[in-house]
Amino acid sequence: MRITRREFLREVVAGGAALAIPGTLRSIAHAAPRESIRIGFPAPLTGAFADEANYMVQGATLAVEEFNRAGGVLGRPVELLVRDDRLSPDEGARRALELIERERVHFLAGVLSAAVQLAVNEVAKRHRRIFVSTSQSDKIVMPPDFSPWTFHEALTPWMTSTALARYVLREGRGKRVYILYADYAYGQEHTAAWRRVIGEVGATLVGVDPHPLGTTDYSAYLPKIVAARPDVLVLNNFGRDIVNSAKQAVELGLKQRTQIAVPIIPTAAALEAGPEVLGDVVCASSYWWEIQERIPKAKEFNTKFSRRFNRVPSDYAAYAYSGVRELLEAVQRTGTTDSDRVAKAMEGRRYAHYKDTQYWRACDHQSVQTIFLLRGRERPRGPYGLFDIVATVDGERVIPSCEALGHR
Amino acid sequence: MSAQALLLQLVTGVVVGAIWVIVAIGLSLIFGILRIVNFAHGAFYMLGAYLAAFAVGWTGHFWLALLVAPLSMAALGVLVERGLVGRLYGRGLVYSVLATYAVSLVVIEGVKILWGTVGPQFRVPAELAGMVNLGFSFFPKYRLFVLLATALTVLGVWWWLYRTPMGLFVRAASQDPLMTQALGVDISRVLAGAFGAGVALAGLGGALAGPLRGVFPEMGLDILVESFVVVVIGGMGSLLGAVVAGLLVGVVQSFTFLWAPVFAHVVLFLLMIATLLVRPQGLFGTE
Amino acid sequence: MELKVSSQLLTARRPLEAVFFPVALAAFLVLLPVVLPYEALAAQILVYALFSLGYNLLFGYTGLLSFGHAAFFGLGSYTAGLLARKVTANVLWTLPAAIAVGAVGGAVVGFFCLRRRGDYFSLMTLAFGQLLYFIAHQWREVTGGDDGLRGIPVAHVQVGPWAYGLESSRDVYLLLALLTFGAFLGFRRLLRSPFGTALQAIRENELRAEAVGYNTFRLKLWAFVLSAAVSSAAGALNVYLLKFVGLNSLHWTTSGYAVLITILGGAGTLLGPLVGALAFVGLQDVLSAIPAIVDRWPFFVGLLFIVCVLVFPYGIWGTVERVQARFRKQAPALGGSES
Repeated sequence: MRITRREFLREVVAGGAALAIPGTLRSIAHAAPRESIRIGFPAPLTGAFADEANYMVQGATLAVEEFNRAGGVLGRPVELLVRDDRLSPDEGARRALELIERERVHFLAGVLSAAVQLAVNEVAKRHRRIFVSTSQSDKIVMPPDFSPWTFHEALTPWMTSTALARYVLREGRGKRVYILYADYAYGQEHTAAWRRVIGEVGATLVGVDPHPLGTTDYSAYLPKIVAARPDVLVLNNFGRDIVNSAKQAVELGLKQRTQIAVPIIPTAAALEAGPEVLGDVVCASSYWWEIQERIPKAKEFNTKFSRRFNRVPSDYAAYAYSGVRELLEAVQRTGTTDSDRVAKAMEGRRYAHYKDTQYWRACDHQSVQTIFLLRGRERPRGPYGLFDIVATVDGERVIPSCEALGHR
Repeated sequence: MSAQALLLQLVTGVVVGAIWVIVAIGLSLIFGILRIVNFAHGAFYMLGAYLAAFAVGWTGHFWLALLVAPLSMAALGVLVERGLVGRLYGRGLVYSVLATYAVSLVVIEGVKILWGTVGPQFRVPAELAGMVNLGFSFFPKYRLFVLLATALTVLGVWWWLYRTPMGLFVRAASQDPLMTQALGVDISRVLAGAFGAGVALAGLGGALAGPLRGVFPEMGLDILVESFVVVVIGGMGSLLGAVVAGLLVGVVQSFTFLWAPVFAHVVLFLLMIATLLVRPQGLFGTE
Repeated sequence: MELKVSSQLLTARRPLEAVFFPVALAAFLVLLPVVLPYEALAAQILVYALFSLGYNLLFGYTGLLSFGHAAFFGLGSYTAGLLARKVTANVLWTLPAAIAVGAVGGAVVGFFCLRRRGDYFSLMTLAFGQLLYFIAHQWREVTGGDDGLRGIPVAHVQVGPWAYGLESSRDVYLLLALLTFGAFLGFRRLLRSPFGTALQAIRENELRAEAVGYNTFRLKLWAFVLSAAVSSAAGALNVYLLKFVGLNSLHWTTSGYAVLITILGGAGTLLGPLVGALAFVGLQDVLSAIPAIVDRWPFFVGLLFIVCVLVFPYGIWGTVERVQARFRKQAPALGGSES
């Protein structure tokens, strides 16, 4: 087949035109002013944690809107660019790349899944962007994942489960523990914390089983657990996984002689599971809206949030709100968006945006904060009155030392 | 481990297998009659769960929902067959695989567009909640119901295939479509009916599984591949094969969780590969 | 099995084409990052194009529908990532290593899967793909499991004392463009070779090919190996771009992308994979910029795909070629489809 010169030229022109279309369309679609301050916000809008991701986006949006209403930051409007990371680290990395290279965001914040945040952190590190993570993780505050621009607003599994495990094991229900955990960073790290405390107090670990993230049918794991007759059943998983595993455990009668403990029960999951499942279950939380009875800042936050979004904020909404606020306030104080200067300004700072005082520890940028221990109410008080606060733990008491984490 | 624990693990495996049986029968039917590997099967399973959840939400009757879901899915199946799949018969396996794969994408994303990324609540109906004492252990009533429903479905499908004229045509069409047509049967009706029936079964499986596992857009992705495993092991186009293989695989996986949890997912695919290598027509297949 | 592809066998080429094709391809590769909004996007397109190029060899030119090609993409990714972490991040080592591992994987998987035909072949490739996925999921110490492989040092090209780091997406794109150029040209050469024509003969009618004396099993196995090797290379390149390996690289939905892109672009055409990748990634990008759509773009891609299957079974480039052929004075049967 011969290709004439004319045909060749035609093909080149056609090809060039075809190439130009996406570019032109994009420039039309994208109309944001370049002088705005942009925060990239990946979140799992699709997948098992979609509910909680929505809360997070709302919390971040609230913070951004507050600043914009007050005239922006440094006189510039603030833009929140939300992207769906689809609960996949690959996608998270790609979205982070897109946010940095195309949208030229100044900062990154958010992310819910432990696995995804590590991927996003990698990308942020390489491009020297501050990333305020709102996802539970031990690794992100340790080398090699940690970087001078990594900040961790959320609690770590170490802190959370140390507090919870100490409470449960000292409470007196018994010392035989069975752990069922989701086989990824979140589940593994909470399990490691439990193991440590079990060793600390001399309890017994009668069984440990991993399950793949997103498992819907736990019937295969439960008979073994029933047979082991544990005093405590720890479900180290998140979101819908909690709902399914707890529901199915209760269906098999496990709650009758076993204390069920879950590290964190996000509000969305709590509402879906309901009191028949969650009654008497203990968990930890960075935030439970009812603390507004004792902490005025919480009341303020609850009011603002519910007025804007017609619902009570969850703990992850609070993380997002607080993390974004801290970022923007630091930019305001230093007068620049330069990552190094803003990061230095955040280090060591004490703040309180929705509960009592927290601060960024200098060595690992971990937000040291109060942990609330909750127990599910068998008879809830109203649609959101699902938990009693049974203890308050000072984060200082459960956080590992800088040296233990590998910082010098 | 005690005998009771083993029995409980066995019964659990059988119930997990039961859902696979229903879905696999549908897949096997579609393959046996239309020679199509239906990549949209998982998406239809999911749709069935959604429809049942909505039906329960509107009418408050679970039993009605169990009827509504498969019937509407059957109608949808016929539409899809007439509109898309049926146009691709001459073109060979590849195109039906691709078309059904595309349908799967469209259905799943379409559901997300219509109803968001978080699925509806689907609770076990009050009559079926609670537990039953089986002697060796307590067992959730609903799971036993699923077992019963599966048994009834299998009987129903068997009766349809072997005791009704439509079933006769379907079986004839799977053996020799040309001859069946020559004998005066409207083959296009048969094919549409078979696809519809297969899709209805997927939907029924989803409706039954919904209260157990939660309803969300991606719920069909795993079951799609799992039902492939079951159909391959049981034999494409074989009703008995789908039943036996479904229960077998359910039990095998259940015990693998118990004794060698590391291999619990891998074992499925090892079995599938082994079957394809050693006896590709599966346990009861007729290829 | 009947497969609608541009099934024209190749004849000797004319000297003018020998220049046109490389020049056109080079021009495209130079223009791509300029026209697209950011380099990482252009790089991603080439990664998918290479992945689909490998896939197309097996599917479009040999007629074998594999649904487990993510296995090779993933193998290449993990090999490159692990080697970079443990030994060296020098591309001159990691890329060949990834290709080698992919080729071996292809040989093993192909050896088993090719024992069966049609549906059974496809299902077995799917099974192998999922097998590898779950093994990688369990083997957390090596692969990082659900968290993926992190801490991968930046890739660099090092020859003796001279080194060039692939820090930015632009650097990675440069490497990708060079390799894509070479791959497509090499592929074109391959298709005209006796091996290439034999593969197409198998696709058209395997029995006849056998009757004529070809060892179809050996040929198909070689196609499988080559296809896997190219897909693995794409996987390694993906790691240079993202500096991260996710478990999803091995999931069957990733295999699905290769299928989608190849069909969209035009199975059995040389440029199909490139056009398909551009269309797929470009479409995703454009659609997600529209506020009403954002993350629901797979819906429209799926719709497009259905339309494609019904109306444009030859894919975008395949249809272009056929339209061109109709305007040619020469009989299509004697022509070649190497554009």
